[in-house]
Amino acid sequence: MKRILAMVVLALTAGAGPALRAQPARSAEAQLRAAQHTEEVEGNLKEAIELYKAVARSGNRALEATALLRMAECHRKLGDAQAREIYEQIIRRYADQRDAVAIAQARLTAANPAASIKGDRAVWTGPKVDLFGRVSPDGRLITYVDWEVGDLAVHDVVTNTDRALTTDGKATGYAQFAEASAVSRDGAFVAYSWFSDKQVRELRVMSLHVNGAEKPRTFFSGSADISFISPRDWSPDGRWVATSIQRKDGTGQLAVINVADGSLRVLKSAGWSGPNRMFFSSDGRYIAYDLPATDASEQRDVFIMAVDATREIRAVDHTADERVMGWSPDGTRLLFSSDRTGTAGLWSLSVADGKPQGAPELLRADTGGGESLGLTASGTLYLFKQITSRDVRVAPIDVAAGKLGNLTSFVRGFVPDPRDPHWSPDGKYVAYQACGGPCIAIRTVESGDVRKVLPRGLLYPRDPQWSPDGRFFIVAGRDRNGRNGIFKVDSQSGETTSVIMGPGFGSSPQWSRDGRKIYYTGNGIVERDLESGTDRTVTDRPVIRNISVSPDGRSIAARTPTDEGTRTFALLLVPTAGGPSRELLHVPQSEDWGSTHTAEWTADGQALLVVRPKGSRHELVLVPIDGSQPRTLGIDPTSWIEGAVGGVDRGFSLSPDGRQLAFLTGKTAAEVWALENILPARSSRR
Amino acid sequence: MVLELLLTLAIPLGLDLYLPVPEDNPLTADGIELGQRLFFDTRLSRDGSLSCASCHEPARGFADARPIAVGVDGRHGRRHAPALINRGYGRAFFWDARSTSLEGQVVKPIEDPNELGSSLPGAAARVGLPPAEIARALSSFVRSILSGNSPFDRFITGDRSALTNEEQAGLRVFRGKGNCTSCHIGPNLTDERTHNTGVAWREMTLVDPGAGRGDFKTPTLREVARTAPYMHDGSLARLEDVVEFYDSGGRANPSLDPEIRPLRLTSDEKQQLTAFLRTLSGQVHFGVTPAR
Repeated sequence: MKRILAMVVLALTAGAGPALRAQPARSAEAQLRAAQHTEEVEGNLKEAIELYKAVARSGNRALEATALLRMAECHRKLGDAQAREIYEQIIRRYADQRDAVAIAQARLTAANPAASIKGDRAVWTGPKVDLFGRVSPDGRLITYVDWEVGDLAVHDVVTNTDRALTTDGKATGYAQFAEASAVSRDGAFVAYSWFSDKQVRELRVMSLHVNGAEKPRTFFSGSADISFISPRDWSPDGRWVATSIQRKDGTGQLAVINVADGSLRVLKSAGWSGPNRMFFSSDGRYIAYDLPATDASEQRDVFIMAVDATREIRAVDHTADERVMGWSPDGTRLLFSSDRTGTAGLWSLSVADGKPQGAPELLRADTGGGESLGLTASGTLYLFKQITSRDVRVAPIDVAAGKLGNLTSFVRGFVPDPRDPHWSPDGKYVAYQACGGPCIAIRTVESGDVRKVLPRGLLYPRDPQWSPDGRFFIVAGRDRNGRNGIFKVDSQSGETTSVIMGPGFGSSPQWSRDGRKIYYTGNGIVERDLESGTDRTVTDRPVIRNISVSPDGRSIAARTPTDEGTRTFALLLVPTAGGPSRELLHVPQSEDWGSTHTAEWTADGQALLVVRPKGSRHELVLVPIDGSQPRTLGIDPTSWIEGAVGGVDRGFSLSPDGRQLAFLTGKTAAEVWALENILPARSSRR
Repeated sequence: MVLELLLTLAIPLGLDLYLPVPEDNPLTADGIELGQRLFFDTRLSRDGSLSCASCHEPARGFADARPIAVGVDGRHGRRHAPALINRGYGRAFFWDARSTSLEGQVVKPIEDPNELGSSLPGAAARVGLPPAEIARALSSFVRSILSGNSPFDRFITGDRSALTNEEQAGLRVFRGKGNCTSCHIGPNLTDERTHNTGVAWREMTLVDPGAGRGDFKTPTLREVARTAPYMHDGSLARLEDVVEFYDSGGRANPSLDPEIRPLRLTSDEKQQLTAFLRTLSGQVHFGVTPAR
């Protein structure tokens, strides 16, 4: 957050024009810098607020808006509610300062605790928070998966303690693991999905109030055709679990499964993304869920299905994105989030006999979206939220000297959830996956402008790599039928064509230097001739995750396991023409770079940059390909790694001339919020 | 509990329990029976010579053995009569997807001069029913035509013996190298969209625009082994021919769907894929009679 605001200062200052930058030291800009120094370096927030106030009266609207943003941030840190008022003031009075307004809106809707309403509170924060669990009816327990070991666990929001419910994840070294869970309406049991020793996904049930000692009961054993299964909600009578299923062909299904005998009833099949959340009505006769509004839409609508499969109604039909949040405890209202006002809010719809009654009502504006973890028996809504300030930055770099210069001051158009930055061949742009998956953002380095490309029919365009002529990206991704593969995306229009179906997200496709072939990881490294469609194995040595083609196109840098027993890895140099590979660097797992980043070639092709763990931090290491000793550079890349979400990303990219580095910085945090008093009194109790 | 009603629905294994039905045309036994009678009733044709079943033969998955449907007076239509399997789950009807509802679709062949060649009021008068009721009844009957519980369905629900090794290999080709799931997806093995595979093009000339530039709706692959000949024009006689067509990358034209391109399947893979496609034949239910 602080980083974004710092960037805003620079951007808006830059936007104020050359005349302003030429003004003397006591200019508004200088006052702003002084205020920022007071805030960030001296940590004197109250004094900084006073200084910002002066800038906010300077007559320069860009600087005024920036100063107000900083003031709001200071108030937020001080824990007072004035932050919200200032954000609202920015939105109201500075409509011409679009960047400032956008950030103020973002603060109000997503990342600003000061924006909370009385009764809203963060009940759980920290690295273990995830979105695959549910809250118990009394609001005290939240189930989750401990992704460190793969076991199901439960968090007690009163004592702020965690308790493992299963132990086999840890015991099997993650060979088995939990994935999602749902708590029964009486709070006694939890149903959860489990990847078992039979290599299939099962649904299991166990008491919520044990300490790992109780043996769970498997009540549904999925076939190998099921690639993911997620219990979403229990029927009020405890006999059925509403479940979403993903099939190997990419079909998403909405189903109910009998807890006693495991009988499966598929109510409806849909596209790959399937139902996001599912909630039984209080009488057990209906299930509410959300699905994409159309085959080609990212926006969701909310539906109600009769559990006997006799009727489905599109309960909430709007062009906005709408997600089901649950039912009021008395079953008369369906709760959903909607961004129909421009920001995500919580809405309710009266429902009788499974049919909507009247128009939706806004319950709470500016909730910031999030995923429902369910409502308690008293009507408190638990929301999972992910808050991020992670963004792409650019800085000059002197690799030989091991020095990183000051960050380039571009910030317009923050696009959330960046990963895998990559320079364009002409060094003018940095492209990266963003928007939480579906888009590729292209930032013009000189102007700071950002353009979003939406690859048609493609989700998660991972690791976009520019073609040598700059016209296309090659990406690993998933199409709307849920099929993984490698795709070619037009960098202007977003037109997408599949190149190879089958390879997964980790296939790391790379262009050859002539743009006529691509390399990707499968069984080793494979070269695909784009014209003939034929494949050639470059190396059959196992390769894990990202690969990088050298500037001259003759070699590929890859990471390979060298000893499964000791979990040692090597940086491998593979000739693209074939022939023996060469190991440049051996590292034990504790120094392995590959779990976070790829290896990046220097511009002259004589060395590779890798990030290596060093204690609690990381270091950037230059690995010459001539076999000479690796050299640690005086650049700390720790912030590039902290806050990364969703496994490996490329992390950083060196410009074609080797003089600039694009990288990611910023934090991402997950929280669970409890929204109390959201319902009219008549709806809050059964 | 209402949930128990699920048990009474005769939806075969592999299909969704929820079968979309318009509120103004609920699925009833009476409606299905009336629709079945109308489906086989030649009075719907102008000269009393043909019924719906003349081109949609139950034994052939409600498709036609002839490449192009033949209507009254021996008049040839433009296209092959499509299979009517599982159309109750459909969202687009006719090969060119021009109808969005079964109720809208089912009466069109009655009036088509190349099919039953009648007028709707005339047909209605002959059978003694209002046109709207004919539409509702025929739609109800078509909704009752269901195919599931195939070896493929049994395999993906856990019966590993339901497919031979060759058929399992074919399934892998279907979902992988064959790129078939680009269009043939979900329980009904269709995306209900239109695509240009080049069938409508001859020597770079468009001979049937379909839904645009030679685009035609993806048909279901349920019962595909018994619904030959294939494609919207019935131009491919055997499943093997269809596999060869797609393996060669369809037929080149300026609007060819980007997902259609040479597959480079080996002869073994082609054989496996064909073997798999034959596993999509199961039990066909129609009307209110028990499964046959």
